[in-house]
Amino acid sequence: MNIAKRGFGRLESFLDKAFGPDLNPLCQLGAYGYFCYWIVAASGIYLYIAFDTSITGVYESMEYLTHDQWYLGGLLRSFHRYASDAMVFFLFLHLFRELAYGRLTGPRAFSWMTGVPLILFLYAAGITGYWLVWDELAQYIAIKSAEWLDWLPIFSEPIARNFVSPDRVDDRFFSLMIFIHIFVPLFLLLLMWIHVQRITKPKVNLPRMAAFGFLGMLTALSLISPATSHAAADLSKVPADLHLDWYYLALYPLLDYLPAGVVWFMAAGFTIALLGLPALWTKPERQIATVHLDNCNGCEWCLKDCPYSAISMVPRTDGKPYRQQAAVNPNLCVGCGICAGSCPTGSPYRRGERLVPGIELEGYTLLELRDRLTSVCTGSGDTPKRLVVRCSHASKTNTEDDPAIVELEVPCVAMFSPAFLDYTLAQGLADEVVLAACGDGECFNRTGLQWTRERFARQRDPRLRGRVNDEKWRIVNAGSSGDPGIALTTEMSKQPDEEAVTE
Amino acid sequence: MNPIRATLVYVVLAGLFGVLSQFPIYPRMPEDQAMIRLTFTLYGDRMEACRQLTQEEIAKLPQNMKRKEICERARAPLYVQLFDGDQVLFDKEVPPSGFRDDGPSVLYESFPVPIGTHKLTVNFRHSRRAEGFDLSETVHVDLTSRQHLVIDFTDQYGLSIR
Ligand code: HEM
Ligand code: SF4
Ligand code: SF4
Repeated sequence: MNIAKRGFGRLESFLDKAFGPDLNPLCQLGAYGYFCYWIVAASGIYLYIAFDTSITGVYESMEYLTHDQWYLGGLLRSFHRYASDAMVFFLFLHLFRELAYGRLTGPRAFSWMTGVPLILFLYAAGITGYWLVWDELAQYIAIKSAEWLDWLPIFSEPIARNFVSPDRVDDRFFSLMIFIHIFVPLFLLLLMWIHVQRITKPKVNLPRMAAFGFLGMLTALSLISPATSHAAADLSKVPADLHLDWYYLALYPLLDYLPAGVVWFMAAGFTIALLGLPALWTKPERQIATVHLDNCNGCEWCLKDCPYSAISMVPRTDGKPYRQQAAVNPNLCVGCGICAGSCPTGSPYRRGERLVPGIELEGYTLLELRDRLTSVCTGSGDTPKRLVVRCSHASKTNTEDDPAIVELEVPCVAMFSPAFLDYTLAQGLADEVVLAACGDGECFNRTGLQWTRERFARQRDPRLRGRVNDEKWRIVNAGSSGDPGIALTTEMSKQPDEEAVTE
Repeated sequence: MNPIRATLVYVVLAGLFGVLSQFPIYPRMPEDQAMIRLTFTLYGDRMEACRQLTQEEIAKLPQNMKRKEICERARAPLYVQLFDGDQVLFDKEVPPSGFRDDGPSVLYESFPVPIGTHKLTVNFRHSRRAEGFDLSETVHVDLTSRQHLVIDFTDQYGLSIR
């Protein structure tokens, strides 16, 4: 998996240079999926209104739209096709990326498991779509799908017999296909909505620039290579020389060579394997956040920062004069520690045992964080020049050769709050601090790096105090899309933003 | 943002969508082949003839189930042969479907054959007889490239080859 992760990292850093981190398509694959869905839905509505829904008239009406009304019907038909293809493309890229980064265990398994049926529904939608044109390709798909379904012992009369001679195919069957082609996508949308329910502010909307860029690309493609039909279906001939849409139909040739049962076995095996993957995956040790009511004033900062909707505000239970208190749902908590870094009471300046914030990780408390900070910085006797606060998902730094650099590992850089930075510098524990994050788009905990940047830029609570010298700290991308050695080599004279984009 | 690189990425994406949505072409079947499809959904005759009930037997039946004859539900298998000249394409019994063997026999088979003239012979048995056929037919067909020739039996129309 490490190779896959590095591969995605390379691609991501290339795309960062092309689009900048905010528009990087690799960090918006889900949003691209949604965007494609909307394009397909909108163009589909037009096609449905404009085409003849009888099996005898549909082919001619599609030909009319494609050739005579190329500027509208034809264009929308091409949008409908290419955006559907793009959806498959983005779906698999998204799946492999989550897999490469191992984001499928623990509470994340919900997103994974609800993602799997999306594949099946997307395919059902796409395949029935190709059916509706009733050209030779449709004929091929209809017959092959029917033969495949007939393997199941549920139909008394084989469906495939509907296609043995021209007088058999009837409008009823065709209407059923149209019905399926409309309702499967609606159901798909419902599933897409469920898929992101466990995530705070999921990225479902494409940034405007990216949306325009993608639409422009689709328009150019549709004009250069408009979607067309094969010859009209003719049941007295065997459809051949087919321009298969390999995104949706790549498995159909298998049905020409393998028994239907084997293909069923493969399809079922693939689905079950995907569903079982989170259980088989080695689970990283997971901490869970816990609330200390004595120190929680119900400010909601942790609620706003938790990327997995694991925190909610509930009515006060301890009689303190605050309206509400934080509560953690342990089933949703991935143990990133971002909340510990967000709590205003998590200041390392508080003495000894009193360093108990409103919320923190059970297995890695802020007291422990402060102790580790002190011990790595003072362990060698001399004050180190540089402290690297490394996200456990970022590349390891090789600090052994250089006593002037020490490293502190955290589950997410966002656990290291601005107050900790202030403390480190003010107490003289280190001269400068580099926060080595696991990457912008690939942040293992979705928003950890983003919140850290905003907090340190004094745009988000808890903010870095004004007295801290900005020449003394940097945030760098040490993930697979960044530079593994960067935490050691970064120069403090550079602006923080320059470091963000790995040019 | 670097517009040249971004454009390049879009071109690659457009290429991926535009090409893989229709190429490579899948030939599926050579031009010098045609396909014969042998298919039917048809009931064989009953395994046992219906038996007339005697007056006493009818008298014993409950009021709402009175009838004159009883019939076993099981059906005979169909026996089908298909020859292309001297070559055997199909020669099998097709058993009835259903848990009690009371459903129709179902067949759906295809045979790719070279184009040109063929002498096709179909032999068909649906009764309980042990030998011989209830129906035999020989046709000469001239199959063209990628033609789809269907041999079908229906209760209504009997044997059709087209
Ligand atoms: C129609 C197809 C799909 C769409 C539109 C879609 C959309 C999304 C979106 C918008 C997110 C939130 C991303 C974020 O804001 O960080 C997401 C997360 C996720 N998706 Fe999908 N998805 C699809 C298919 C799949 C499939 C097939 C899988 C895998 C089987 C999958 C696995 C995941 C996982 C594991 C996450 C959570 C990532 C995390 O916890 O950090 N998705 N998806
Ligand atoms: S950030 Fe701290 S004080 Fe604020 S609600 Fe969360 S736990 Fe309570
Ligand atoms: S550790 Fe992370 S996932 Fe858990 S409650 Fe805190 S912010 Fe949310």
